[in-house]
Amino acid sequence: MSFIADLHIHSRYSRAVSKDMVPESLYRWAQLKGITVVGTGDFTHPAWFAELQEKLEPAEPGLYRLKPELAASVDAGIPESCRADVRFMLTSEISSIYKRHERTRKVHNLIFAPGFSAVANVTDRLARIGNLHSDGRPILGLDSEELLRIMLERAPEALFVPAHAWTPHFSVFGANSGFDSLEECFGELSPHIRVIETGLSSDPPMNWRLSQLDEITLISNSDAHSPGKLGREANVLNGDLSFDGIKTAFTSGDPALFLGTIEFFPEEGKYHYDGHRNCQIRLSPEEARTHDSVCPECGKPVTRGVMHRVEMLADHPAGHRSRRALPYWSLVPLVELIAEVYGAGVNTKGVTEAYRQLLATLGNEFEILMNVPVADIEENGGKLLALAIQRMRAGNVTIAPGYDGEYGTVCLLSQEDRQADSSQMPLF
Amino acid sequence: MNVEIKHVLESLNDRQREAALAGDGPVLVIAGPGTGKTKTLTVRLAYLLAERHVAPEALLAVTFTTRAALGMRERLERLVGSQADRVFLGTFHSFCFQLLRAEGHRLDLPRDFGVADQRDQVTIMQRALRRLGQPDHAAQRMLHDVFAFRHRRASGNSPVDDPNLAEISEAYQRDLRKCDLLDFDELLLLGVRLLERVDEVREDIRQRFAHVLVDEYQDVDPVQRELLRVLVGDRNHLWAVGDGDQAIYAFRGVESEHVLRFEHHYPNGRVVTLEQSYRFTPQIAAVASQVIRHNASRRRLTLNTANASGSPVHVVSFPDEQAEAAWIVRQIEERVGGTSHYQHYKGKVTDTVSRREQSFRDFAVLCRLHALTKPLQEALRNSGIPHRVVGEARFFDKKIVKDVLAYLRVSHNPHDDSSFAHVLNRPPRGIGAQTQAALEAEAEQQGLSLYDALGKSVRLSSSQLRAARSLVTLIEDVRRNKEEKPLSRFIAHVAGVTGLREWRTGQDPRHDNDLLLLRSIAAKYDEMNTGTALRQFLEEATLAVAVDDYDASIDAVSLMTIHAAKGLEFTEVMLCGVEEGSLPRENGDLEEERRLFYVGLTRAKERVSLLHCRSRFLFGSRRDREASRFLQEFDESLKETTVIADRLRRSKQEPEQLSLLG
Repeated sequence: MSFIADLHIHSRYSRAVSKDMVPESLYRWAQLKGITVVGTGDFTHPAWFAELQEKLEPAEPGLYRLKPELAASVDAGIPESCRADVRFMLTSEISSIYKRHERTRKVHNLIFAPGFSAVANVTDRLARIGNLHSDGRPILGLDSEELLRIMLERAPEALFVPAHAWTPHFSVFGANSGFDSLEECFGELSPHIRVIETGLSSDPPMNWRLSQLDEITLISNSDAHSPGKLGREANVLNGDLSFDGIKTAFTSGDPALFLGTIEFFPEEGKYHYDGHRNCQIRLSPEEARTHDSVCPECGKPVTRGVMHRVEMLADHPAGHRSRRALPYWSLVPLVELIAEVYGAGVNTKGVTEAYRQLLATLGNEFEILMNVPVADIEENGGKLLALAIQRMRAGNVTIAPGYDGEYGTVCLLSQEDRQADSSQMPLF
Repeated sequence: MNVEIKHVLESLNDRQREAALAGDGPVLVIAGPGTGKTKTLTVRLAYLLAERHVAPEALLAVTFTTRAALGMRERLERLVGSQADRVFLGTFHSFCFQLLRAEGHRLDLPRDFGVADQRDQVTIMQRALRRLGQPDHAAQRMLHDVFAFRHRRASGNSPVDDPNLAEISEAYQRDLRKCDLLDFDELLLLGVRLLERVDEVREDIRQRFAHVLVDEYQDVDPVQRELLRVLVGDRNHLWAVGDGDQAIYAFRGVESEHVLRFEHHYPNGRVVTLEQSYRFTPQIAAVASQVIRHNASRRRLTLNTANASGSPVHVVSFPDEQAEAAWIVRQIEERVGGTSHYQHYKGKVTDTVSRREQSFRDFAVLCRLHALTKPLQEALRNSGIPHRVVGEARFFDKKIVKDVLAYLRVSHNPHDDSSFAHVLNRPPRGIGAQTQAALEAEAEQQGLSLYDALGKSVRLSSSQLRAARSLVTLIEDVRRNKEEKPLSRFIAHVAGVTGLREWRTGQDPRHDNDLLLLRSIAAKYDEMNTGTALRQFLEEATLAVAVDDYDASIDAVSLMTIHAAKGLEFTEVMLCGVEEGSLPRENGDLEEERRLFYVGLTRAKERVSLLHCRSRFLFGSRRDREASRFLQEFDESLKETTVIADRLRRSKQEPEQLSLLG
């Protein structure tokens, strides 16, 4: 049976993260979204780790579940249509800031661990190196290669994944403080890197353009800082529901075990194009090249986006399809679709209520976005929403690309669509 | 000419070359900060070996720390290859240690003596005091007094001394010797005594070492100076390098005028001055030179540099130490180019693309007093910025490391009472403090070591006796085993079989890491026969005075005192608490304090911030503070000043702004 996994999230112990990121909320929102395996995030944080040990219990090998007495009280508030089992995987992100080859590097890496004792083995060592208390995603002055070595020594069965591999400031390929290749970053240990996370601003076809990633599996996760953002990217798996099952699906990239990834439209990501947020200057890679990567407004160099960076490192032609290519689904979060239909903000009461009602009648969010027949959506959510979802599924989307930390904006409906459909019930 | 050496000689500037190629001596090289002191000394050694064909065994080069010696050997190896291994490169202490091991029997020292570390000294002093019927709580201070007493007596200028002190000193010394131990301080005193009294040894040593080279000459204390004098005799083959302006150890008895008196001590001495610095910007060189010029007792030395111009020195005034700490955190975050996406998003980091980003290791935050680092430690901890407080936790002082070393010492020499007392109840085996005291008394009475006393004791209860006997059996077993395993495996064996590892890791799993690190340090002796390896390893552990667990592979901001920063360099230095009362320190010697300021300042390669607070909470009370006079001792044009407004005034303004919005 296939299931969805979102393994990179943060707890309330990380900076700039919602106070609501607690095991109970993760459990609740995983069901609303249709996620079976959710990462715990932040396992290096002592208080969060203690909370996890207190609230979770072992389920399938290497996975955990919320203790039944805690789950029961959450279940009451979840529509019948969405109720499902949820498993937790122990995961964490580490921010390494260090000098390598005479340059300052900033790389975020993920560790997926198969159990509390593996976590303890790793964090005991990391606690000696730096401060794990002040941030759920600790900053360590530790070379990524060393971090990988520590993991291989202390928890060899765990999985190491460079996080959002293309973001400019904090990633393995980042334009500002990353590397040009995995070898440059991980040295002799680079063969241990089998999997990378693509991040919101890149999608699989962009990554296929690098021959150095020909043998690497691409995975996707939400990096959610609040429960509602869970699953905005995720993995669709078909293997054994266990830590090893998931790890095998990832490392093998076997299309029978790993059915594909759920993606943002990469243009929607915060760092897709080049630009300057403060100057409101957005440049495509070609435009940036004609401006010598200098902001036409302020004259300072622009922040180089993921698209441009991929083009710099690409050695396969545009459109090249990797031998290991897996299917992927580019989706727009349901609240954004509803918000567009009603012309209201995503956080408004009306949109929230419409979201809740749709889930209660049609099932979890991924069901609605990916599987529920358009006719059923139209019946319960109106013509415009059905049209928007239909277009999204077909990839028929207009997007103003994100740049320099500013999310891109998606547009699925035109003015004509709205005029054609006067039947839409007013939201308020 | 050896190509390597030819190449390196060409890379020296004229003064450096003059110093490196100077005749036999005596030569004093005055080397300002960043002027290539270590390089010149290394080239000097290489030159003597390769060009003057001096045998490596005839070179004696003395440094102040083991780390400096190791660094120098590495550099020398690159120039002359394996010959470097045969040069004596070490500290004054390690020189005397080896000398006394070989020849100490002429002073009736045991052939296999060990060196008492700080804790051993305290334990032994406590026992001596108890035996004399005196309170033992002031053992630490008494040690200090005893050392001072010894030095006074050694220099012969102490006719009147406290008879009680003499008695304590004698009792302490006797106990020390009964354990076959010398303390650190004695190594030097006895080394000098040996060379002075035994003509044969002295002549032999003088014969053997055709050249004596000394690093950090300004830090040579009177005993060390005496040692040099005896070593060199009238052969004058001394080559010393140092900088009086960087002499900051007056509190250890080093005389700051020492460098000034070189020609007095060595009348035909020649002096070469290195003034061109390769470390810092012209701005930093100018500020440093202008400030230090206010010292009266110094040699003329004006720093200059051909390095590119940099920014002015940044002087920042804060309302209090919290504001100072917060500013430092922000500054580091900014200059590292942000430590999180959040900072980028909130616009807290500006213009990161056009500027070269630093990493944490490029920063040092320096303070005159360790107490000043407390609010900074807290701010850095909260910020999540990786940092290390240098000079705090010494690796060889860590619990499990001390335990293992004690077992190793006992296995090396079971009559080492201090180590034996340490392992007696670690891990706990039911031998409490009272039993231990009884045992010690018994040993004392019968003139036995603790180890022997344990075997014969009549005072122990049967269960205690069983526990004690099992310890003896354990130690016998360990002693038998030591010949069979490489040292690093032997250490693992000892930690396991004694139950130490299980006990300590049960208390805190991190002890396991310390144990691993200890084994990896020991691994370099694995090739040797374990008996020899063990001895050398224990010597290293004892002589490595300040080996902290500094892990160079970790990128972190360094937070430390100016004293601890000596000899180091950083891209950017933030000097905190540049205030009257802390720099210069109240009642401190003004010239020494100015040298400290100078040393702090000259650790920086590119940027310096001099920070002071208008109010500071220190030693239990909050006081108003004045900016340091040193900030007035250099040209205004070299500084850029920022004044951070008082907290109070700002918080008054906020409600007004809010009411405008309302």
